[in-house]
Amino acid sequence: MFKLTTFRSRLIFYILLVSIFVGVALSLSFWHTQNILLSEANQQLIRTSRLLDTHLAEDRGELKRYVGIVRDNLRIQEYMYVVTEINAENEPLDKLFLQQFGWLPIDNRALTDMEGKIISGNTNDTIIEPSTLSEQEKINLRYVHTVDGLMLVASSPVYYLQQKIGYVVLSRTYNTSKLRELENISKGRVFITNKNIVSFSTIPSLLGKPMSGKRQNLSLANDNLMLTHIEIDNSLNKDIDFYFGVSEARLIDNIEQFRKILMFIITFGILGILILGLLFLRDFDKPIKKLLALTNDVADGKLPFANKVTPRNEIDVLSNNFSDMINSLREKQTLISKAQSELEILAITDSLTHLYNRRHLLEVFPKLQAQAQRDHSPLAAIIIDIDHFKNINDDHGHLAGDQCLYEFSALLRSHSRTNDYLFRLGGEEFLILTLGETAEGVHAVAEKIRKATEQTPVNYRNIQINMTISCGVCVEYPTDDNEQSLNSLLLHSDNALYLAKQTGRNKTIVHHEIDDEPNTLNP
Amino acid sequence: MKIKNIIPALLLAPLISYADSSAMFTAAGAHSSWVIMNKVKPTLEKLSGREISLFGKQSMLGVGCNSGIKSALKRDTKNESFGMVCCQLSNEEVAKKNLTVYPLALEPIMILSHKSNPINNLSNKQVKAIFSGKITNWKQVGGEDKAIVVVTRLHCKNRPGHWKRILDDASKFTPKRINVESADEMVNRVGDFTAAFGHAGTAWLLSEKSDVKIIKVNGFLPTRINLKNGDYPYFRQLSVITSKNASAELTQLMRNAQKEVFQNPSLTAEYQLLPIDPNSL
Repeated sequence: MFKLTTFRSRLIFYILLVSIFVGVALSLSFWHTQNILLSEANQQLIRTSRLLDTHLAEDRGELKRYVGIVRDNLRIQEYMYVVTEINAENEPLDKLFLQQFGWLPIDNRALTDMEGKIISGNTNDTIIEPSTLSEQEKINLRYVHTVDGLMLVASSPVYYLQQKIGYVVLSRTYNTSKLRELENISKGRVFITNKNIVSFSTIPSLLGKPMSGKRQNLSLANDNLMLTHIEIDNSLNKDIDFYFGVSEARLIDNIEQFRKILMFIITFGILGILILGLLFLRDFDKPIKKLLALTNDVADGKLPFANKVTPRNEIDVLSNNFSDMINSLREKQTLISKAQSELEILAITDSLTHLYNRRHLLEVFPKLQAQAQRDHSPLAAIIIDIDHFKNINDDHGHLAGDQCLYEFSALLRSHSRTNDYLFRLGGEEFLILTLGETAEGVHAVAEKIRKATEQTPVNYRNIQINMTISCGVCVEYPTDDNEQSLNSLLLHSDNALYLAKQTGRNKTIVHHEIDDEPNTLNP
Repeated sequence: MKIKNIIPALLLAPLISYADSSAMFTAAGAHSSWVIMNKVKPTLEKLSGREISLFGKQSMLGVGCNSGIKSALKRDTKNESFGMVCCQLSNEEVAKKNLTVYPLALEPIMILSHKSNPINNLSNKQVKAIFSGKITNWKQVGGEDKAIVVVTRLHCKNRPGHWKRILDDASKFTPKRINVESADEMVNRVGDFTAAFGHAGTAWLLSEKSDVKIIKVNGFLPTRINLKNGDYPYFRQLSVITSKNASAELTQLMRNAQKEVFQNPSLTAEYQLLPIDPNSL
């Protein structure tokens, strides 16, 4: 069974989980797009129709406001009076009207006399209805259906010195280009009907088609329009209606485009998550593996060299810290090894003379014995004792005695051979062990040392201290028994030494194995 | 004087002195009188040793004769003020408002028409007939067949003189006319309509670019010579006014103004103003 015991496996699981979640979420969105968009389109239809309604209402309000501005202009009133009551030329009025109100964002403007005859402006008589004008006292608004388009007309009477002198008439036209503007705002289709017949539309095939407020849909040759009626004030013209429609084909195109985009997002989104996850996994996995190998080595007692890396994340920092830890351990281990070696040397050597001590003799002898047995060669021992050493201590002090011991050990070292083992057995007694020598050869070595000692006085605080030594030499083939061989060798050489001491000191005596009699070779 | 009274006097002395030196004469009112006072202002300032501040460059409602009277009656603790009027005040008004009038000059009233109008001369009778509405078309005085657009500026209706020298009451003017509030508007309206007919004082200089021309009356242009000789019939009196309680300095300033205008007629020649001899009053 798949177990999430490692961070690697957990990370893989997590990436897969995220990918599946994203995939499922986007797929659900993909399959429900159509329903969502159709539902949204219906809402949008209602919202946009309200927006258009507001837009048309703003048009009406704006036009009404402009009429008020023109009507209340004192100079316009004055000039209209001059034209209508004094019958002066209307050019100054035209000039003034254009100069002061030419900027108004309207399509037509006119000033009329009391009979509705235009005295200034750029409109035709079709929008002027004298019957309507003569009745009104305030600003009047209405929709007028003309061949050029549906016109929103606003008019108001103009007074000069409390005398009604004419009318101001402004209009805005809803023709094909205006409908196209509305369609750009609403992203749909806008129609105008007159007595339930389409009278203005940007789609020529719709012109003349019957339409009623109850219709929800309108089928065209290649499309179907979802329709809604735009509310306008019926009192302005009860025959006129505005409709707003949204193309279903356009909606479906939008859905398809949305789906393509969604599919693209699904594919590349999941792929991106996987690639990023793998890259992250690789960055995470590599240093973890390296760390694991290092810890295994350390657990095995190794202290491997680990290179440090430029830290980019917490794992790099951890890895570097671990390398530092290993390096620190390695330094500590070197110090311990060095201390251990020194301790070992201290354990087997004499602290004054730096020669091997008796303990080391017990350790090294079995090796020499085994060597001698392998080579079928004898083992030789020279036991040396400094003559009358007690007198040196007594006469010159223990420090002088120590100096004599130190310098004698140096002499021993300089006159011995490479394969000789030098020991201080205790006090002023020394031992030289060597391998494969004849009694004559060993005797010669002992003699050489004895003579050198005799000829080399020790200088202690400018006092010459003369020393002599006595040597006992023994050469034997060792038996299989270590202890017995060592005891025998030491005993026999010690006997020879004893004899040398007994017979006057400053001499070397060899113990012959064969007749078991010490043989003195005096100088 | 006690010492305790001297100390504050010494402390306040520099302040009092400062207030005196910074005091000025201020004036507001009709544009035509402003034209004169603006010309004599440097001389008057030199003579009085005080700065004079004048308001009346624009010709419009609110800076006319009524504004001048208000300015004359204004009580200002720091600055003294006087007014500038373009009409002859009635004796009743002068007495009621406790004013002193210092006439400066007479200003001819121009009869104006559009530059394109072929008519250049009208009789006094014809002018009156046009303003009264008895003549309504230029062809009645030998001009084109165009309805006359009468433009009036019937200001200061309760004061004698000025436009009343044409028709002595506002009700005698034709009701089919347009009435404007300033000389500037008058010139603009007459310039706008080719059949227009209006009036304005000569202190309002006509620009060369203007579409307005001056019509002779009885063959005479509105010049100060024609006025002096009694050949030109329409004019008005320009004056400065003060409160009867005006200080000696202000009274002296007014007299100096009269004297300066009369003694230097060249100052007002540009505006065809006829200076009035103060000794003749």
